[in-house]
Amino acid sequence: MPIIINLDEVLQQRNMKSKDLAEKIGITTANLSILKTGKAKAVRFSTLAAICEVLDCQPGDILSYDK
Amino acid sequence: MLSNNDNLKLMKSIRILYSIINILCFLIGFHIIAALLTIFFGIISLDVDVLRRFATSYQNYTHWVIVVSMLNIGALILFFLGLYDLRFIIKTFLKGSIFSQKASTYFKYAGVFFSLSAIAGICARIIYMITAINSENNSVPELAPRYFSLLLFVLVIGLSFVMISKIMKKSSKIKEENDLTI
Repeated sequence: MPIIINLDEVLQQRNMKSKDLAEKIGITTANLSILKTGKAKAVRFSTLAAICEVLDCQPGDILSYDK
Repeated sequence: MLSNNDNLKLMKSIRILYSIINILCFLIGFHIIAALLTIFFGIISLDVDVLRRFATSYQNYTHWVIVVSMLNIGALILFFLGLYDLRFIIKTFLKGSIFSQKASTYFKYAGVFFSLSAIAGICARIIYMITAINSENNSVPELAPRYFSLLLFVLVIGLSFVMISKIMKKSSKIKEENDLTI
């Protein structure tokens, strides 16, 4: 998949744990793990918006495209 | 998504279907064993005089009688295999995984077995009809299945199962995609 999830880096910059983020955006840690490992097939806009709101960042900070 | 009540109703009907298929599997299995034993003990106990009388009675039709009997037993065995696959599919449903790749594959197998069974039965019926028409005294033993429309119905069911397997394959892919949407 050419879409890369940089969630780990953003979480490290914000000093936040995956478990806390999952709790704040209202998804399970298992689903967050699927997202972080790149196994997810799609991300809902509502989930992306919630992540951006909690981490105070732009979608481009979390997602990147690599050929 | 199904509500809890709908899910319970679905499971209840699946359980009833599973019981009916189990009974049908037992009956057809028993039928096949009986047919095979009849052939086996029939050949052992067959007198040479009986064989000679049989050959003179049906003259040129003896080999067709054997072909029709073999097609008939073949159709029964294929029908049993189809039923056994269907039983496996229902078992997968009972475990809770309705849209699985496994169920789709077994639906395809069941469909192919049912279709082949119907084709074998239709062939047996057609051969019987031709030999019966051609025989002078119309005394060729009726070994082929009697209901032509029922055989056609089994063929329709088989082809429908093949079609359902394709739908199930697509739906399992959609479900996987939906499960992996965060």
